[in-house]
Amino acid sequence: MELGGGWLTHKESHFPAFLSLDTERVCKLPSIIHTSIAVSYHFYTQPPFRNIMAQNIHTQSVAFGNNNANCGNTIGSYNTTIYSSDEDAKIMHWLSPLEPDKRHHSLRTDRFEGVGNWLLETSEFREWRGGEGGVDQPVLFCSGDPGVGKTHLRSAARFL
Amino acid sequence: MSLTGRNSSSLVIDRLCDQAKEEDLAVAWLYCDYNIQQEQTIVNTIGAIVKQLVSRAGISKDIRDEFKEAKKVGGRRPLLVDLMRMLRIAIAKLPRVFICVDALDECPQKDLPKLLESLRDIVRESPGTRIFLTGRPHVGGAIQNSFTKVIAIPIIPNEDDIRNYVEMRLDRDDTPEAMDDHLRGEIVRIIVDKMSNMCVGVSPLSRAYTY
Repeated sequence: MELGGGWLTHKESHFPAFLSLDTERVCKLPSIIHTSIAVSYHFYTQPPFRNIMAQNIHTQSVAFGNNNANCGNTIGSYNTTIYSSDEDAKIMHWLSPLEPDKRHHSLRTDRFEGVGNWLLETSEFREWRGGEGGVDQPVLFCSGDPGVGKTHLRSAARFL
Repeated sequence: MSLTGRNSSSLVIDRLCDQAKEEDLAVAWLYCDYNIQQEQTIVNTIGAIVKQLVSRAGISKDIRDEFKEAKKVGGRRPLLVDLMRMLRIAIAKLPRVFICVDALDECPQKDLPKLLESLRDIVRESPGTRIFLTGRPHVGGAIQNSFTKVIAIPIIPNEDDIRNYVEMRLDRDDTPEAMDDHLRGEIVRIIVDKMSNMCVGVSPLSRAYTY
């Protein structure tokens, strides 16, 4: 089974970005950054956009490789990103420069379908989700070691 | 938290967002990320939660007034205490609020106690609020210190997860001509078998526990 073992190693570079510890890798691709900025600028601002505070934040995000701000360049059903006026958009930037909805969109796009679905079916999740009035458990904590799935799969590849 | 944590958080957030279309509930979240810790300050983190809930509840006159005042002094950012006040007001307007924070271990260490304290205050003041957290096991202690009762579930890939993952990887093979059904079946079978042996005794369903 040499072929099988070599396959996993050979394909290492094809791991989706979010599997890697370097989750911002995908954002470092110049074309993607370019697209992201163009799209988010288009969606997030109504020209002329002259909010200096927000522009500074935007520039800083690029410098840090902020995938929260620059990934997920399609604005979907999350109404947190589409504001009714320029003033509203500025207020939202003022509340926080972070854009968790974009990050979420990027993660859900790359997600492995079917992996981890069991969590949603556990009684713990259902009770947490459905509980009323705070008399039960308001906090659900899912703990995991970093990259446990990936590490285990690499280990398994050695057996091949 | 790579595969398992982020995957779990995005699944939970999606599930809640789907349900929000039919039920009266609001969802806010943040993915902590070690690579952008400079930006994910406690103020920006709580601010991001406020922002998502405010976008659902509507921007109140108070927030507009505070923003106008801040503009007069050079765009001064709100303080944590201001954001917590806005958060309370927004939550009070909303039916049912779910707050999800992914990868707490990637939150700046000095900010973690404050973040948990802020979330605890929200739960105390708005008891219907639900908090979903993920992180490496070592942050469990800090979470336990902040909340009286926490349900914890270890996220470990089960057999289906492994099978789905391997199938997905095979689907992305860029030399499909070298693959046939037999080889594919063997690869899946052997990896799932080896992995199941490694994870023996680990059943996510049986390992949920309460602090």
